[in-house]
Amino acid sequence: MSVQQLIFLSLAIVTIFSAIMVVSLRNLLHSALWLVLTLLGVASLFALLEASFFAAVQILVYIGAIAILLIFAVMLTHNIMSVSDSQTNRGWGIAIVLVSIILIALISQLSTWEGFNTALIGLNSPGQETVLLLGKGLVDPQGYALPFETASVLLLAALLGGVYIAFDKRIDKKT
Amino acid sequence: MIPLSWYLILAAVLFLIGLYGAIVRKNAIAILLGVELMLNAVNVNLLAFWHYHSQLNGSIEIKGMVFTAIVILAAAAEAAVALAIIISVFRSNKSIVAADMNTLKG
Amino acid sequence: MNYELLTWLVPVPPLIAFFLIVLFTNKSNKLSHSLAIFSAGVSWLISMSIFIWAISPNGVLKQPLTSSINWLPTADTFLKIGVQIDALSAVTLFFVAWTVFMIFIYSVGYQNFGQPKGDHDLPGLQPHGATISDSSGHTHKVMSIEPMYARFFAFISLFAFAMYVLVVSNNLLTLYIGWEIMGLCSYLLIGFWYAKPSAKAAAIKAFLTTRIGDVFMLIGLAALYTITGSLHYEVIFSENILHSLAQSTSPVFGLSWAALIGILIFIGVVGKSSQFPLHVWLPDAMEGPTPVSAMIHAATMVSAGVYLAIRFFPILSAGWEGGTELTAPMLIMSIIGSFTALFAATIALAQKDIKKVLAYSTISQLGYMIAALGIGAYVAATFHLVTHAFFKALLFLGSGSVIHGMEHGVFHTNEHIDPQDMFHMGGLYKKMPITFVTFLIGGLALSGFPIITAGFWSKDEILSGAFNGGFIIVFAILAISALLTAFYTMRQITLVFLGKPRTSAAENAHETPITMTLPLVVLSFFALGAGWAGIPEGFPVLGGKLPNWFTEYIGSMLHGGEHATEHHSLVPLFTSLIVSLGGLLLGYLVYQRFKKGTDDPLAWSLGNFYRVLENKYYIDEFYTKVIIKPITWVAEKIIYTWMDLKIIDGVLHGLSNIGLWLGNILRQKFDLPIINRGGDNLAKSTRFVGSEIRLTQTGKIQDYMFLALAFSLLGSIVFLIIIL
Repeated sequence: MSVQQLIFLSLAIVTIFSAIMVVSLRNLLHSALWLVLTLLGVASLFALLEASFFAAVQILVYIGAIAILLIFAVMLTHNIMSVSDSQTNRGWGIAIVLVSIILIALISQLSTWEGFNTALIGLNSPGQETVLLLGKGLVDPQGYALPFETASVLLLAALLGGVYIAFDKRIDKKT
Repeated sequence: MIPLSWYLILAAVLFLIGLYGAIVRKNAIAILLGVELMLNAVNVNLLAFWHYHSQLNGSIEIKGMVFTAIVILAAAAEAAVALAIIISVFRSNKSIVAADMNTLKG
Repeated sequence: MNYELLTWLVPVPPLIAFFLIVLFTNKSNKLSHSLAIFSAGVSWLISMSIFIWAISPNGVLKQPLTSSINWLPTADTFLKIGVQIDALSAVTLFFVAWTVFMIFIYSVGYQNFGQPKGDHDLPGLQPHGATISDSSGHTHKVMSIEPMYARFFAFISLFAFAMYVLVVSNNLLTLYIGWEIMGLCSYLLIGFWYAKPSAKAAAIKAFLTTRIGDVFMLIGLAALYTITGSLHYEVIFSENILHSLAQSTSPVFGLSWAALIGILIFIGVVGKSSQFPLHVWLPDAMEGPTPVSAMIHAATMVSAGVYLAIRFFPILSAGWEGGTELTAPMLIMSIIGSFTALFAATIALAQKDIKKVLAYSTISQLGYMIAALGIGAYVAATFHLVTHAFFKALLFLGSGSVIHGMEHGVFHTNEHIDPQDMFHMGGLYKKMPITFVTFLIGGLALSGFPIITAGFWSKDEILSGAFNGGFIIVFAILAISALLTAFYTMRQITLVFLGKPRTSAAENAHETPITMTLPLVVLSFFALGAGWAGIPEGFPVLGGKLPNWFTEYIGSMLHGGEHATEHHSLVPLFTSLIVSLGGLLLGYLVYQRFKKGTDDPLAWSLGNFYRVLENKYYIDEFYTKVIIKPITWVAEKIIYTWMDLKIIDGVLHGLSNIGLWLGNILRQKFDLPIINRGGDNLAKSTRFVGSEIRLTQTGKIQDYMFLALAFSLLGSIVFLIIIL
């Protein structure tokens, strides 16, 4: 067991433990905070995979924006559900069974693939070049400029849509 | 020297935990937390395979990276809109229990 | 003159008159009788011109006039029909034309044209008289006009058409057609007063009895056609056909085909000409009006039977070489003919009704003709046919005149007697002189009064033919019948005309109008003079003075010459003189002092036999018991009750019930449970399934997610298993 593998194992344990915490805690705010930890763990994994850019993006976007947004939403809908009520739906046992079956099926099928156990070694090119290539690719018309632009349109739509949906119409009536 | 399988198993477990959370939790925002977990698991999977393919081909694959970027973008947009919807529904129904939003009941 | 065209035209005017009267003029009496008489006159004119040409040297003595057209296509050839004038049809045409024309004119007066409408007269019944009042307010009844006047003239026109068709036809098929149409008209005219039950019954009796004869005749015609392939006179009476028919044997009793066909056709003649045993219809046929009796049952229809027999003589006599060895049909004819002559004459002795006496007299005289033909006296039979038509028509029309006179008397005195009963008449010679004289002439002709009457010559021919041919039995029977004929004729004349009137109705009778007496006078000329055309050469004194035209003319019909021998004995002559004069004298003596209210003098002398004669030997009762009742029983019990009701109706009801049963089953077992309930159940199950599946639509998205996941897992497992 090499050093990398140890690091990987510890990070994995942290991530998975945090994930389990996210889905099982009654207090929603605690769940959101444990989500932040999970996202951190995932960012570390990205770094281990030599996708350093994405590790940074993960922290910036996910933790910095999305998780904050989630916390805001939790705050805005606070005190609605009392913490003493059950958090889970009826039939959570079936859900566990189902999920386990899916896990087993998935892993067993994946393991039939011959490249399943290939060791991931370090990439030849240094980290900088990765980002440069990504940037070039994203604006290259023969590359991925179109998905890039479409994604920006998607963001615009989401922005406008979100504002419109969340707009409080009662303010309009008052005035 | 981490085998690919470890990453894949990790991504699978993360994904399924998120799925469990999305199915089982009552609170609408909790469902959203589960969805975020799933998306992150997907990202891990994508980047693992990016590394694998880049290692096989000898040159950096752009496709994997672009795909991951798009997933992150989509996740962000979707979280924003979902929260807007939840806020809006919460205003009219005064409840964020997902099971109470059942006007599509047949 | 195109005699061929004229021959085709002879039957046409009465047919046109029939249709015009039926369709258009039946409301107007005057127009109807004018049309009918006009058509009869036109046919008479055409017939006379044909006759005059036919007897001339360019006429038909050597070669008959024939003309045929193609009618029915039969395989390769055509069935042809056409007309023919030869010696026989020429003389027949002569007497038919005259008698028909005279009877048409007579009918105008008989049906009381010009008289007022009756008080209670209804169509279908005899007219009962009209009450008129003269200027002094005195009312009395007179004869009323017949309500169905136009109908009568329509029917007799149709009848005249049929008779002409029969006479001019050149083949047996159209002859048969004319024969049958005459049978129809006979039925219609006997039952002219159709509301009278006795008339209806008599009409049916006439039709059915003659029908029996007609069936056998048709079988004979069919056999003839099958064997020879034709029904034309030219073909079937040709030498080789006659020879082959005479030689070949039929499967019936070993007779030759000629004999068998001859017998079958003769049965038809027996029916139509009313010989024993099918004679029963003719006396009952007196129910019809008197012109009908005169025309149909004296002059034409019954003569048609004898005409057919004469026409058919070559086949009847095929194989006969002269002498007493007769062929089978000739033997039968002579037996039946002579028997009928005697039989009918005896019945006529005891009859009270004036027309019934004449009816039986007709039967008897027809028997004479048939017997004459049976013994081979061809010319004699034809001669008697012609003369008999004239004097019998005269006698019938005369009796009609008498009845009219009596009816007038009955209306005048309101006496309720039968105007046709001879015992109520008497002394009418003073009141109805013309009728008396003409009736007397006719009666003398019937009895065969020597020299001056036509009947003498024809009857004498028959008797001499019988005697000279060696048929002594036939001769004896015919002689006795002649005696009886003279006797009952004189009986009739004495009772009706001579002596004193026995009832006040007879006292008040008066002569009938000229439309009735004129035909009587015309016919009496013929009754007197027709005989002089056939005076035989061997006759003492008178023979040879006038050529025996008739014998020569008719004798030309027989290609082989007549086999009957000529006069060479005076025995028949003396016999006929004795029987006719003696019979007339006896009849006068017995009845001259007949008083009113007493019985017939014959009744005492004949004893119980008189009753038998009066009831016509009880033959009608016999037929009813033996033939009619069983047939009626069969028709009622077997055919109607059993076959018709039980079997045929039963099958029909059964079929319809099957239909109902089947329909019921289909409805209950198939339609309701399967189709109705099937449809209902389909709907119900859809709703049920829907209501069950609806439970999955909870509206909760987590449930939807869960379901989606579960199903996709299932699908992927299935997929993996399949590819593995």
